[in-house]
Amino acid sequence: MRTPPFLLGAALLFWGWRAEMLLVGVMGAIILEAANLLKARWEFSDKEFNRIWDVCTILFFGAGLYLRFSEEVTNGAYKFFAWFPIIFFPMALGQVYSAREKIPYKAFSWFLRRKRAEGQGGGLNITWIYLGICLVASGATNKQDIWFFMGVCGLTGWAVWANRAFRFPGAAWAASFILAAALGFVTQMQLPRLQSWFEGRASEWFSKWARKDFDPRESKTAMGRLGRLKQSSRVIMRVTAEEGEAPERLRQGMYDHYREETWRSTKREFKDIPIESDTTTWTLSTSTNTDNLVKVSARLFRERTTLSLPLTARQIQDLPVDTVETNALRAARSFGNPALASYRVVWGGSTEDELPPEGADIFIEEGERAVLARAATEIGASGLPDAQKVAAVERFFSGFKYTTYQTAAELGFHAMTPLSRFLQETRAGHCEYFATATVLLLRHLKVPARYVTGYAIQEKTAGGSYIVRERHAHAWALAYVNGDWVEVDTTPADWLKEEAEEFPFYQKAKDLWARLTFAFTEFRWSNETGWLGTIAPWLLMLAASYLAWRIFGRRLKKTDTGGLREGNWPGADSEVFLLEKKLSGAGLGRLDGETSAEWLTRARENVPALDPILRELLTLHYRYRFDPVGIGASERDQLRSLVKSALLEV
Amino acid sequence: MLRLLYRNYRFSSSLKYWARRRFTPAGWLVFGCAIMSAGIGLDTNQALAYQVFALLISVLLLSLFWTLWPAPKLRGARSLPRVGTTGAPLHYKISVTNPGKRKEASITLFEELGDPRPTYEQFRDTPEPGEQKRNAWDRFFRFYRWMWLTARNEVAEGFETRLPPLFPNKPVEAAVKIIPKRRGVLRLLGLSFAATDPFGLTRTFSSWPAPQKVLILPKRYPIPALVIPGKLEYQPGGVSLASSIGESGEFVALREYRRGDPLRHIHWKSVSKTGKLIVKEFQDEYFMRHALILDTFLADPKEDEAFEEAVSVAASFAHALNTQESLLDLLFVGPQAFCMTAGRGVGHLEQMLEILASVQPCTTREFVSLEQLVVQRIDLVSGCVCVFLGWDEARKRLVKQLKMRHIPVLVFVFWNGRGAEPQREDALEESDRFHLLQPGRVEEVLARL
Repeated sequence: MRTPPFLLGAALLFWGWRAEMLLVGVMGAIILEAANLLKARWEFSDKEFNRIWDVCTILFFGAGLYLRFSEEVTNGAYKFFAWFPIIFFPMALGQVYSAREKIPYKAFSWFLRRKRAEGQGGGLNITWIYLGICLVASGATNKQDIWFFMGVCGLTGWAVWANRAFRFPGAAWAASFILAAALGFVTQMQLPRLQSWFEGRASEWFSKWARKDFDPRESKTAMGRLGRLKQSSRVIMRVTAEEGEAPERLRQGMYDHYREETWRSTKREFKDIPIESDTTTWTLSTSTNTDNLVKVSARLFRERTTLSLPLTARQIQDLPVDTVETNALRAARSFGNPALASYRVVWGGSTEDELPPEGADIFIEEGERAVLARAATEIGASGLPDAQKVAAVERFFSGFKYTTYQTAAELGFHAMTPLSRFLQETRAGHCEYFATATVLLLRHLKVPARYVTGYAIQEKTAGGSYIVRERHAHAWALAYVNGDWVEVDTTPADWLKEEAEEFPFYQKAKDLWARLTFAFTEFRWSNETGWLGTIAPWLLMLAASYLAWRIFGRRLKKTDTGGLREGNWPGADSEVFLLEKKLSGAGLGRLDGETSAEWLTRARENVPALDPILRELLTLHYRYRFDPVGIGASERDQLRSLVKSALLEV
Repeated sequence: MLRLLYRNYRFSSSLKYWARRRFTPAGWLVFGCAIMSAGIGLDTNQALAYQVFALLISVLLLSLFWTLWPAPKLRGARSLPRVGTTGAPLHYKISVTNPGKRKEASITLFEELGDPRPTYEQFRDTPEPGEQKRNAWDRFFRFYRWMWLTARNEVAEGFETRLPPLFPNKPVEAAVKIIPKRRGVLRLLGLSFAATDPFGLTRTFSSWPAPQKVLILPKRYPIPALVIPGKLEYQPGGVSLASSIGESGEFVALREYRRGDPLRHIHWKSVSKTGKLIVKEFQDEYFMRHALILDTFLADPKEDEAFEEAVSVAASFAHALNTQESLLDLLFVGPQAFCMTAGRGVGHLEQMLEILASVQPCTTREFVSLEQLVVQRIDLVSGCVCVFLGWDEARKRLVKQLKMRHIPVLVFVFWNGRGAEPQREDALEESDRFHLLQPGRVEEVLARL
């Protein structure tokens, strides 16, 4: 059984509207529903169905790969689901225009294809499944309004009405459906609440798989946690210095309050930055006359992303997003982003725009004070000017070791905080230890300091630009010296090399692959279309038309067997068909699969007048229909007169 | 542990059975879409699919709630054919009556074919053929054994049949199809009538006990036109074996009694007229008579697959040999030695197939009893088809005996691939054929004959 007329079209329209591909939806709907008006059907063999399914499979994997490399994972996954109606459209098309009621199971399985011969095994009418795909795919979008639920209700209602059981009156059906819709409505209201409750319980586990954005309000450090830090090759940025130098670091978050291994920002309020008239320039500072211009091509989270900027960023150019906002600590985030943006940042000069030191920039948690005091004594810089204090702290840490891996024995279970152990016992740790200890030590020495997270710019490519990978994530300190904020990075300079020693042997291949996929994403989102971009659509169209010709270009079968009206086959105007019509009016119609001879022989018993002329009539009719030579004019007249006399008798 | 596994399989297969019957295909689709939209809508901030999930799950829940409304009580009576064939669809009609007061519609009909799940003893003791080749994991969990046993216990494959609207007390006829899977007596237990909820997603059932039996003939393989060599043999009874009344066809004349004439040939009417012993004289009959020897002596009673195939081979020959011109004797040993003759109007082929439908492996006697049975009739036979389950000395001796009388033979030996491959016996002449058959690959050998 297939779906009732126009239901599939309506579902495609709904999907097109929700997925913002209305034109595709309208076209698809027209093509599918035209099958209700056209009588023409194709006679697909099993092999051709196999081929159509193969096309869908290619589209499936093609779309999957394309989205994997051109979009950020989560967003790419939703887009992928939203494209399902397009991916499986060829199959739906094959179904509605096929003369066969069902598509054989083996079309969907390579295993069955080898096992079963032509025409064997059952089949499936996929129109209902395609309807389900359209419904679910329209749910992979995120335009929050009441019309989505209404639309889904309407389509589901239509579908279950077509499938209803006739033992119940329509009113019972209607009441049940209204009840189900109401129940569904209440349930869907509660589901987001359920999610936030659930997320509260298992947030870490929940979002383990996706790359996480920096939270400019809070940064949980990995201090005191066991094991190896993640060593991801994934490229997230390409940094190119267009004028002047490239910055050494790009910051994302800035924090001023430390407590229990977590850095927080006390400045939680964000304010919109006014947009310039060209709609892609965002000015952060009043003075923009510096010489440094850096181009950053970065993967962004579609909805909201924390921007990576040099410390003294003045202006962001060519950033096509909806809004950009910053907080008092000048962490900047943007909303409504493309998956990858190539923006330019004007930077350099003094840090006069940074928030001057406040009480929070001197605060030290009670539990860490004793150990900091001991370390300060060791440094012995208490009477010196601020600049020398900073230098002394840097010297102090030069004796420390960088390590990404800490065993249970090293961490142990004792009363000391991870930071105390770092300063007193292990003297080894990763950048978060160094940055945190530096900030707190400086604070102890009465130098205001803040904790900064972001990326180190280290990996230079042959082309002169820098590649930033996920494993380049870094933390450092910002100290207030002589009325200016300066970056203090006490992590041993060779930390990347240290990390590289623990890489597996295939890390090089991983890195290369990550660079290639990033290059593809850059190509996908670049504004300039290269030669590939120009010819790709034409190549695709060519391939699609070749496939369409291979699949649909053959064996059109007219299913209208009425014959006399639109028949153009030889002998279509034989008067025997008039006789057939007349006899079927008398209840002696030709049955399915009955030959003319069998049928007329059967009819003869009821119409004795046929008896004497039957043989002659049939011979002439058959010759007229099937003899390649055909019949002469006189024989044609004879056939007419024979049928005429038969018609008179009937 | 084994018992735990058994319970687990038993439970999960009953769950599967329940879910399969309870939900219509549309119900499954709604369920599938709900699961898929739940997956996509897991993060409610990112996608609206959770709303699709909420609606579909509510629709499903409501339709499950409707299953509390009982299905209508209906009655049905089958008109069964006398026999069916294993593996071939069995079509028949069921007349369904609605004894209630209101019209019923959207009802589907199922045949109750019994529970195919194996018993614990079966599960414990019956290994799947070739189980020793499976890996340790599969051998431990015995899942494939469970699947194989379940498939083996399935007597027939049923299909759901949609019924037309049923008006009160007006019987309607429904055309039903099942595909029998085992030969022998197929017991149909009853009829189940399924009614759906208003949305058509879930079903409720009512049942009507209608125990009935139908004989299922063995599966037959296509066999190419086959001529078994052999010469015409004198058949002393002539076609007097004919099932038709009297013996008129072959009657030639009356003559006086000579010593040695069978007493049953005495024509008593003439005796009373003439006072002498008069006997009827018959025309001597010469025609071909073939023996089809079916070996029922299974070495390992657990490996009955070969036996089933052997019966199928015998049935295929019984069906394929031209019985218009020749006689065919089916010889096998069941609880007793058995010979059945068909052909030239004597007996019916169908009867032979019916007998083959009920043949069971012989456990109480020795192979010698089959040998004796063959030797008794060896003089009448002009050609012989032997279907053996093994190739040991006793069987070779039987073939030798046949060859000593120069009877052409066609020998099939079943071999499960284990042990030494059976070799062609030297006693066989060049024109005799010797074929190895492996269970599951019989068709290809027969097709190449």
